[in-house]
Amino acid sequence: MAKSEESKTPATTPAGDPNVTWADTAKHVGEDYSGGTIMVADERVDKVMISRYCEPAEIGNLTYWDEEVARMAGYRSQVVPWAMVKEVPTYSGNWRPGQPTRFPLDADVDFQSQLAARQPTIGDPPMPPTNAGFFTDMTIEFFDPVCIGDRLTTMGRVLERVTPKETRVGVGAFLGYSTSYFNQDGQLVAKATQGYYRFVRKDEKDIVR
Amino acid sequence: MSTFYPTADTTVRWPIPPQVYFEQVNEGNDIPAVDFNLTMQRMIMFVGATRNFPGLHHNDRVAQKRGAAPGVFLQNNSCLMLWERVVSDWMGIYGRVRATTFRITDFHLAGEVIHVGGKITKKWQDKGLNLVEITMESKTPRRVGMAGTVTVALPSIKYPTTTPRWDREGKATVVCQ
Repeated sequence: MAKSEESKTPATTPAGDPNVTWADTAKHVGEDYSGGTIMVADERVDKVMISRYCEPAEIGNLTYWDEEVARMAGYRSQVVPWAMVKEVPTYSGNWRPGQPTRFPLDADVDFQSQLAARQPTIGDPPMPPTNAGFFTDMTIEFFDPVCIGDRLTTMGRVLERVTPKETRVGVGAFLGYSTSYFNQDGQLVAKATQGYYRFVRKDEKDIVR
Repeated sequence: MSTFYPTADTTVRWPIPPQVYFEQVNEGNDIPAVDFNLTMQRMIMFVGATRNFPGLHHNDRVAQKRGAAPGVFLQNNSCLMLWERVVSDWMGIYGRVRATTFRITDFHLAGEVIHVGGKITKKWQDKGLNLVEITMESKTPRRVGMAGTVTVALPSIKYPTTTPRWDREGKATVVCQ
C-alpha cells in the first residue's frame, strides 16, 4: 500500500462564524479573494477536450469539430465552444504524480474529495454559518476566441455583491465573484461573474418544491 | 477477416448548414427549440465532459443533503451547454457569441425532459458589430429552470464569410457591416 493511501480524512469544522452577519460580509465587496495568484491551466486545449465537451448536449457547430471549417471561418484552428471557455480549458488537474491520494481508505462512499480549483482562491470573506449552497447565476463576456493549442490563465476572484435572502430551500445570501481569463499571449478571452447561494438548509418538510 | 470501422469516421466531412445573416433575422423571431432528455447516463456524461465532480451532480444522497435537491441535478455549466447547443447550431459557423447572462431558478434533474428555446428580442448595430439579443428559457417539468440572454454577433450579407471579432471595448476589429 502506498504511504499516501494511509492518510486519514481531515477533520471538518462547521463553516461560518456565528458572530458575523451578512451585513458584515457585505463590507468586503470589492476585495479580491484570489490571493493574487495567477492560475495557469495544466492542460492545453486539444481536439479530444472539445469533442468530449460537445457530446452530452450534442453540440454540432462545425467550427468545434472540423479544423478546415474553423480555418475557413477565420480561426487559427478548431474553436472552443463559448460555454466551455471558463470550464475545461482552465482545469488544473485533480491529481498528479507525487501528490497524496484524494481518496483516503477511511473515506465513506459519499466522501467529497477536495479536487482542483477552477479559479485561484483564498476562501471566502467572514460570513455567518451555512450548511448548504449552490450556483445561481452567471454573466460572461467573450473576447478573443479560444482555439486548439491555447493555454489559459485565470486571474482574480473579486467579491462583487452580497444579498441576504430567504428562499424556498433555506435562509442565507446570494454572493457574486468576478474572474478574468487570458490566453498564453495575454489576450483577454472572457470575463465572468458567478453567483452563489450560501444558506442554512430548511427542514425537508419546510422546503417548497 | 472483417475490418472494424468506428461509427464516427473522423475522415468524414460534414455538410455545412445554411448560415444565418443579420439582415435575415428580426425581433420576435424564434430560434429552433430543442428538448433534452436527461437520462442518468447523460447526466454522468455531463459530469465527465465538464470535469465537475461534486457529488451534487452524480450522487442522490449528496444532492439531497448538501444541495437541498430531490436528487442529482445538472451543474451550472452543463445547464449552459444546453443553450450552447441551441444557439450555436442556429448561429452557424460565422456567428459568434458576444456575451451571456443567466439565472438558474430550478433544478435540472435526472429523468426530466428540459425544453430549451429562444426568441430574438433585440437587434441592433454597435461599434461595427451586427448584434442580436436572444432571450432564452429552459423549462423543467415544474417551471422555468433557467432564464437569461445570449448576445450573438452575426455576419452580414455584404461580408458573408467574415466572422465578427472585437476588442476589449467590444469594438469590431474586422469589417462586418
